[in-house]
Amino acid sequence: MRSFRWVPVTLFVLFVVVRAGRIGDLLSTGTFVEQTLVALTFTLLAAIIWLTITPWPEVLSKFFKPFDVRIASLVLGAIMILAVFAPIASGHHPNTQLDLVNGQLLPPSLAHPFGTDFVSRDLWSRVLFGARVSLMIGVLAVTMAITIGTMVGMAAGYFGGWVELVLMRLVDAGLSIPRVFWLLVIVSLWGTTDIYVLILIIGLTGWFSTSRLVRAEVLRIREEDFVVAARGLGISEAGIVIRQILPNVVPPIIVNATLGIGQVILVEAGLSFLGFGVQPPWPSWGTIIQDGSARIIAAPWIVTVPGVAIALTVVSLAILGDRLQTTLNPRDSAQF
Amino acid sequence: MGRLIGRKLFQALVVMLLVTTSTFFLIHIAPGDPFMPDLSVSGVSAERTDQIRRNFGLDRPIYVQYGAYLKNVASGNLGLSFRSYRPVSEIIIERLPNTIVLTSLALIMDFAIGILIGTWQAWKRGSAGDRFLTVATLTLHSTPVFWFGFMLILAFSVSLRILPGSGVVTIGIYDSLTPLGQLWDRIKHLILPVSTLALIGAGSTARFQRAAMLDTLSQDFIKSARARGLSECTVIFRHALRNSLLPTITLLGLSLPVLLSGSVLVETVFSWPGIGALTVDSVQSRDYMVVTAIGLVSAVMVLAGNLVADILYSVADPRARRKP
Repeated sequence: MRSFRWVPVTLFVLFVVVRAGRIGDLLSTGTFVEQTLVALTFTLLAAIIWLTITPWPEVLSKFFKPFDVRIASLVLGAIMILAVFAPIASGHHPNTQLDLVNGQLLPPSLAHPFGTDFVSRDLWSRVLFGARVSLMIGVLAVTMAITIGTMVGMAAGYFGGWVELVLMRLVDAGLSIPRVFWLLVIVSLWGTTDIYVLILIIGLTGWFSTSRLVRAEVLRIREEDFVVAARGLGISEAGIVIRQILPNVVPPIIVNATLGIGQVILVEAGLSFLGFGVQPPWPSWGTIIQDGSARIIAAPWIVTVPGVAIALTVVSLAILGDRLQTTLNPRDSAQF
Repeated sequence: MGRLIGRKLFQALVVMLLVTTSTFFLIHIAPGDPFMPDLSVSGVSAERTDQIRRNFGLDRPIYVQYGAYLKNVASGNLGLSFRSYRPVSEIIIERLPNTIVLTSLALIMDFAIGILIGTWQAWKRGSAGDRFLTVATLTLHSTPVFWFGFMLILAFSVSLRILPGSGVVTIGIYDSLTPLGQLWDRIKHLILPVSTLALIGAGSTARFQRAAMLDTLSQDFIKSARARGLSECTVIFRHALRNSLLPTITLLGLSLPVLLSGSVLVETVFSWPGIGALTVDSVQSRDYMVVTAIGLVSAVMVLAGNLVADILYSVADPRARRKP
């Protein structure tokens, strides 16, 4: 299967050769966070190339053994690369109205792979730039939610007593209201249009279930022999939390984060669809669906394409999350 | 059993207080109030706006407003809508049946389909059908619910033209129908929104049930049942299925908030006049009183669902009853 690994690299090299002239555009456009993500993806690509030319460690070849995991990584990798290289790969600016007279609601064709929308914007470009927005929100909001959730869960699990009582009732309250409701209230009241505020809000409403998970893990680990031994050796409480407990809750958190990115992408899409998320004219997968919903009979492809993109991304993340679960937490996942 | 319910009810009260408090303060610390944007644009004088604020008690300090609000809620008075000047409880009661019909039918269909598929998959583990359904349920689980609604509308309302894609009844002809015809009209309007919510939910339920069933099937009592020569049917349905349903009952409580979130989106897609669509409307018009009340109502629905799940659990599992 070594040859299989060359596929993404070959595609990428071809892609760069074809579009070489515009690499410069890529690094000169976008906000700071976008450029950071670009840099991260370059690092990831370097890692992929390195793995392609060197023999894989056994752990990795084992991880990528199942067929569905390979497909999921390829799909996710392709979407990430297309998202990062959107300015090069798209061909049009996502908000440019190309031809308001003859170019409205064109069905998919060679010139416009996904067709055009009702103000003649190229849908392929919009979906690519939408991938940028949706993935960025997913990654950053989950990073935030995971950080808060881990801290709250560790505090509740480790200190117990009234700290635990207060924090866990707070989590109960957070979980007993539908998340979309929280988000609708906060986003609309603060009348935000800024994408970073949106990330902040999605992150702030996403940590409840993580903290429950972490608390349960901490409760279990706290009673394990090695923690008792560490305490017996006179290691400080802070040392126990950081050196003994934290490393052991990391694997379930990684799984939780992988699945969480998918959930955030779904939440963001829903919010943008209701008109409270990413604001037009900027595309996110949710806003494109909202745009298309008014023309669903005349131009069904506008609604269809971004939905497929969302489903592909979230399915791939779910497959990778499940795989991480079986690899990292073999004890908790039934081996069938 | 009585103690269990008592304890759960107390916990529910605490959670409800937290929910009311947090939505109240969340809304009141937000910049602006509902009379700022609309009235100043429409040329109403500042004195008049202040007058309206006073009428609704918005000029009092926030802790006084909060105390008054809590007292009102406790006595069942949810206040007046800023927008329509009607009692909030009236508005909600008007919309609630639509949402309850939609979500409860979806919940039943979700679990019926999910449990059936999950059980079958675990029974025929590793078969082509199991592998196909694993991919299918994962895909459903990962699909945006509102997009799925649009796809169903495209298929059944636009292409096939067999089912209506919006509203509760066919406006214009509903009143001229016979009672039976009216019922059929309502059912036809229910099919697509209910299926949207139920199929997306069934994806997760089936995955959960498959895992629970596989876990049960690997236990010793199943081996001993097989060794006793019981038929496969008896083993699966009388021994394994019953035990595997225990974790799925807990899922019932957990899936309610997800279902309500979904109904906000699905009601918007299908122009369904329920609580979800009301949430979007009142949030847009900053109708505080309606928004806080909806928060409370959905928390009550979720907590009631959890209570039912807890009771079902202790009915199904005698061990849970013995725990203090």
